[in-house]
Amino acid sequence: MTHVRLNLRGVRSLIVDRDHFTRSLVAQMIRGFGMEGPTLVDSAAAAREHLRHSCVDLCIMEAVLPDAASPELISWIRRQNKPPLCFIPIIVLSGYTQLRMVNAARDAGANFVVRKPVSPQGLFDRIAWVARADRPFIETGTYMGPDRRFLSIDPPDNARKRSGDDCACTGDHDGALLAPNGLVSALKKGGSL
Amino acid sequence: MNNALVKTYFPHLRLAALAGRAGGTTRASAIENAMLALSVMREEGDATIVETIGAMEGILGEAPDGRIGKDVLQSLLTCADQLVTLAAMFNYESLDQAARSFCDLLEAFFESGDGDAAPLVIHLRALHLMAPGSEPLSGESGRTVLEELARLRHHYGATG
Repeated sequence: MTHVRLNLRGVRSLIVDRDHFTRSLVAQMIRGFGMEGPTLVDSAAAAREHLRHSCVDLCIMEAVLPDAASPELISWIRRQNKPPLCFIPIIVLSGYTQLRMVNAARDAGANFVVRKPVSPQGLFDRIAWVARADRPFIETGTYMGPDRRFLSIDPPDNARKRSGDDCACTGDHDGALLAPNGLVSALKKGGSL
Repeated sequence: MNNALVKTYFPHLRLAALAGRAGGTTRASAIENAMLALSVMREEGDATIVETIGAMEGILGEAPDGRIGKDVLQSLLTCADQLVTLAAMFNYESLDQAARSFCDLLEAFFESGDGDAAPLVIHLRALHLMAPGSEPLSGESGRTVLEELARLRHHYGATG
């Protein structure tokens, strides 16, 4: 993974977090990755307003926003009938104690849920994964988002996760974060999609 | 919408197109640059850590009769989550562990619906000891404090 190169110049990002300092921390990280100044907003309402009038290529949001839970905002984005808005990659930053939000964010259509504290390594790897993996989008009557039948495998180019993330949700592998547990179990036993 | 209908899309992501262009930054360089960018925020981060601990003391101080309800626990959790992020981001290892311990205890109280202020006050004192700007604890003292916090967690059934 150390040889992986990402050219993030020109990528338009939106960071949604109620806390000014946390927004600045994430913004500094992604500037370090080579993205130009991200747009920073502090609420779901402000995010909606921005997305109505501007295009973004990546959205990073806190799990719990002051005026809504992240699943509400994610569902709103995914149900917008105007590509590419409905397909934008969404990374949710879950607080250390907000694990109960993980399933809800996944079911609303998040690409990744990352447990805080997020490190530059962890965030870069998730962005790299989103940018390099061809993950189809699924639309059903009740779900619109990345295919949740997501194998318990390493990211492209064998990028490793932080070990602390592995137990972030269910005590299972990070891939299980976005996969139905039964399916992961079946696959581990030799099944296939 | 018909529930039986499943549509599959293979969207063209602008992020993917841009990221795959020639040039760019290696993972190692990107992370190094990000760490460098974060380091300029350390002073502000230190101040925010101290402010956050103070805010938690304020919230706890308003709890009547040492018993705390779910709304107070939620406010404390929000601050404590923030503290975990800051402590880890700026590599305050003991503070990070103490803040996680505080979070685990709060979470246990949240689950049980019964909060006791006393162990939280002890955690806040420990957080003060480990906060930036405080007299640095020796390695042994730091370990002792963290062990005591672990005992408290165990006593209150916080598994962490």
